[in-house]
Amino acid sequence: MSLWADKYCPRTLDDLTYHEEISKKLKKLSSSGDFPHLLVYGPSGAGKKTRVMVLLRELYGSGAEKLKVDVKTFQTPSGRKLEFNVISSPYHLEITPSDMGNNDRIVIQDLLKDVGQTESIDFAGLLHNDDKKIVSNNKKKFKVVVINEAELLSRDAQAALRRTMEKFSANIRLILVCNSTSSIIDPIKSRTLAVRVGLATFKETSDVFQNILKHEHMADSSFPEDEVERQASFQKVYESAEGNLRMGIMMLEALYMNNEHVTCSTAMIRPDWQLVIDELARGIIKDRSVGKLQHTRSVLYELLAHAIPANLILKRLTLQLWHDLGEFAALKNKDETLTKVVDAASTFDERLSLGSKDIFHLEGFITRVMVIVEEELNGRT
Amino acid sequence: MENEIQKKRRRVVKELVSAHYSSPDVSIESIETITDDNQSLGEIRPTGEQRRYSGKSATRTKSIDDIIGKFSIPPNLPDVIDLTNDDDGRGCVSLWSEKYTPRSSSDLCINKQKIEQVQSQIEQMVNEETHNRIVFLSGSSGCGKSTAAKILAEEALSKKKETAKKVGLFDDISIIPERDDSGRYPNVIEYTNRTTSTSRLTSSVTQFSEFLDECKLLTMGNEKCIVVDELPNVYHEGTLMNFRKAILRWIELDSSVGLPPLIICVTEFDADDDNHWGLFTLDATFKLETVLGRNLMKLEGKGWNRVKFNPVAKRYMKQALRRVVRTEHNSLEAIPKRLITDEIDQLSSTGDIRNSLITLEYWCRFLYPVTHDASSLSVLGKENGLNIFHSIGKIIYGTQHPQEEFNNYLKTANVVQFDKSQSPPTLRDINTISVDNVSQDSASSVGKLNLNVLENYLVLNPSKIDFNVADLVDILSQADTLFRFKNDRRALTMLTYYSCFGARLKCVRLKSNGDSSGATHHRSRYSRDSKVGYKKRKIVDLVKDFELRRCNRLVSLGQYSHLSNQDAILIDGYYQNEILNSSKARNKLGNQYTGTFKRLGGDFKNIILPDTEFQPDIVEDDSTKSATSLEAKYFNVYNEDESMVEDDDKEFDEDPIVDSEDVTSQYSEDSFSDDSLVMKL
Repeated sequence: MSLWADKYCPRTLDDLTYHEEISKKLKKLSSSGDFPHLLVYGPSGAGKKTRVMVLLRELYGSGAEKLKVDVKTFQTPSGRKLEFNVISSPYHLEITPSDMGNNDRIVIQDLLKDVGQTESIDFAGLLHNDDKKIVSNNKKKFKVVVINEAELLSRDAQAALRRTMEKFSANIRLILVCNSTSSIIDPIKSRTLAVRVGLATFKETSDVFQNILKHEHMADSSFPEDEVERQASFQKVYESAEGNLRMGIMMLEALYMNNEHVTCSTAMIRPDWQLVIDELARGIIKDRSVGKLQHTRSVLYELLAHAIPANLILKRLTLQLWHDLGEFAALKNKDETLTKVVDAASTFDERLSLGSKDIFHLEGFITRVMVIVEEELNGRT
Repeated sequence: MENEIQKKRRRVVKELVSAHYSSPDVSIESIETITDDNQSLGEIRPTGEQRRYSGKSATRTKSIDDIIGKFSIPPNLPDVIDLTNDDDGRGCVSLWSEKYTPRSSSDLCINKQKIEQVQSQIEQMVNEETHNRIVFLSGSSGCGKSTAAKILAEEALSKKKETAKKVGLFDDISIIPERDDSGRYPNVIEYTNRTTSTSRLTSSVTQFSEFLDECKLLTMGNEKCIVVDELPNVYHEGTLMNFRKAILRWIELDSSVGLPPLIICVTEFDADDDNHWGLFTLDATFKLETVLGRNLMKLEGKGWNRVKFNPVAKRYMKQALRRVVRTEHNSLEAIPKRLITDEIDQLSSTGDIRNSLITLEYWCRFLYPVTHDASSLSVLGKENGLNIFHSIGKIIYGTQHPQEEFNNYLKTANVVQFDKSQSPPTLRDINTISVDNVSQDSASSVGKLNLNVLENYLVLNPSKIDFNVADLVDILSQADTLFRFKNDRRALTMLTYYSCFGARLKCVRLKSNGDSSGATHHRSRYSRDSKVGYKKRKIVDLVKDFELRRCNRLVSLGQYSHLSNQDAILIDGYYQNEILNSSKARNKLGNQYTGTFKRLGGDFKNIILPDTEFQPDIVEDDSTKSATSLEAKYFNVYNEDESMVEDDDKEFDEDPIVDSEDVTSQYSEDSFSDDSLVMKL
């Protein structure tokens, strides 16, 4: 068995339950047999990857699901050996730039060159009679290269990509998947068709949940039978997951596995890192002392060691501070304080992207916040 | 009499060679190598008689008889080398630093307790009262490790032989004269790293292990002590591996075999610049920990011991320098006593006795006679090397020796006062000066310095978090954003200076506001950053493994869709284990396992604390392995339930990732567990 989030991942365009508009567009694209390079973007847990996989399946039939995992080795110019995984089907391959570190430009160039210079001959289609029709009708000569987490591509690699996109456009279609387009360079944006996949609304999420529970009979009985109550518990999951569908489904499964009955009063299972950061925010407001500062440093280091991105820590911390300060009764000038905190957050967020050691900036932000709160309460000293 | 001994020895060596040493490539000829090593010691200290002696034996020895011949009666050597004679009549003027090498343990300018510590370690080994077979002496350069090792080993051995003679045991040994073949330390065999060796038999990679193997043969019982003063080229990976293996073999050799005491001196230093920072590797820090590697470090106390040497204390240094000056008084008559005393005062704070002697000699013999100027010394000499803690201390607390700081500043800023009419720079703002010194010294490692300042600034114990604290961290944060210009030399210098200066000014403020009554003396702590970095790399490796497992699993089920690293850490890494830990999952697995799954990379509870000392690395726990196989089991159980068993299921059972887990860590490269390598003597 797999986790629900993987098990109930839609397989065809018709299975997709929300973002009807996008589904329609993708259907049109796939039926035309050819499509431009795509740039699929949107927040995490919105269903970008799902839609890309569905599209591939729509284009190539089940052949696109004959996946295999290859370990490719690549020798960098400096002589170091680099190993990374490439997941491929006869029709497409998937690469993740974060596996390649600083050498993504060379690796991507080489890989695309290989693919681009090879005319794809459809052996698989010949072997599988059922797929043959679709494939030969559309005469798709190109291979699709999916680049995951495209925002992590270095500038070099993106510039290299831009050339390759034109040079091998007969043989390659690129699908770039990323969370935000802000670090994608303009030439690439201009050469791709951007598709934004937004977060699901509560209604849509609850439909997805309902659909899963329909298949999981055991689990279905653990959730409230009354429709209103059930919706209320879904609402709580949806809010805790902040709209992230993947997290929502995971949370739903964790709730079911850990509780006999899930009602709207059941304690939510929220990710541990969020709890740690929330606790940190509370601590900063309550206790503005040297000892606390020492302690926060330990916590920050621990978070960073778990490879949690520093800007995510800063963002969550700021949001939590915003929330906690809003409820902090002793504060006289709430609005002013909040403005100062957000101001500090934006300053240090910029420094995070400029600097090299995150700890300086995170601690800088925390001391600044402590000082702001201290001055607000006791006046400037 | 002499013939008898020779015969006896010859027999012993022959037996050894034929019976135990069957490997063809190590033969009698390699024994020659070691006797050659002995010779080279003689050549290092070319006092008269020895020189002639070594000249005589320069012809290559051809047979066992020759080798044995060397171990018997040596040519007459002077018992005491004339100390006062500057030029010993052969045109050989030895440097003071060599000439005044201490002759006995009482001359050593090292803390008495330290000497006793080393002494007891060596004596234990000599008298076979311990299981430890190696003593490592570690410390910075010029703190007297090698000299102490040789002298103390020599004394321990002659003491033993003395007693042996009295008791009447080992009568053949006791006949061997005290001053043996190789000059000053007859009972010491010294390893020489001859990378230029032209011998066909010794490759520079395996040279060290061959040396040790030969030592096992040559020194029956404990009649010699081996001192390794110079390591082979450990920057070469093969050589390093060979070195570690040789050490391990030495330690793990069957305990019934009496091995000679082995003393290894390791000169520790930081080659730490920002190219390597955050890595605890040999390239960044040359320390015993990095030289030996994790596996050998575990054996501390179970095979080897360590004595750490500190830089030579001012008091001992002064004594030693005065002693030299007293002996040299003939040649120093022209220099006023007062000036010499001043120079000694200045030099004695470097902590490096070799360097101080060289500087003093140069000044006395060449510089003063020309310039007749006392201040000229101040431009000479090793600058007070700052280790990182000193630098932090100077930034956080400020300096405690303004005058020294000032002299250092003059030295680094190249202010030489040959012209008396110029007014000298004055001691105006000590902060500016000490900050300048620090930043000069640490320009190549400013990132590390700042991290350590961040780790330590709170020892000033400010009464509350006010804008001074915030500004201090703000300065560090800004310095970090400038760090991307580090390739520009000038920018780096400026960045270093401003970050140091800013931090210092804020620390002054903090201190004046600080709650000094409650201020306790904290030990400086080393920044956790490198430890965190190491942990992070390991967790990232874990995440990659996790994804690969997931990928293999889902691909075989046809359910694959990509999961980004971030989602793996933030979502799946937590929830998957939350689901697997649930009672329902346990029931389905039939309560086969009792442990709990940890979130990917371990829970957030293991807060890393900063250390006052370097730790080699974090100990690995084996729980991940079992958890991994259980995870596979969980998902497999359900594969079967739904009759979706794929053909590569078998392969999955074995979980190839588990096996490859060890390969990912950069520290586990040394595979000592191979028992076949352990030489059986």
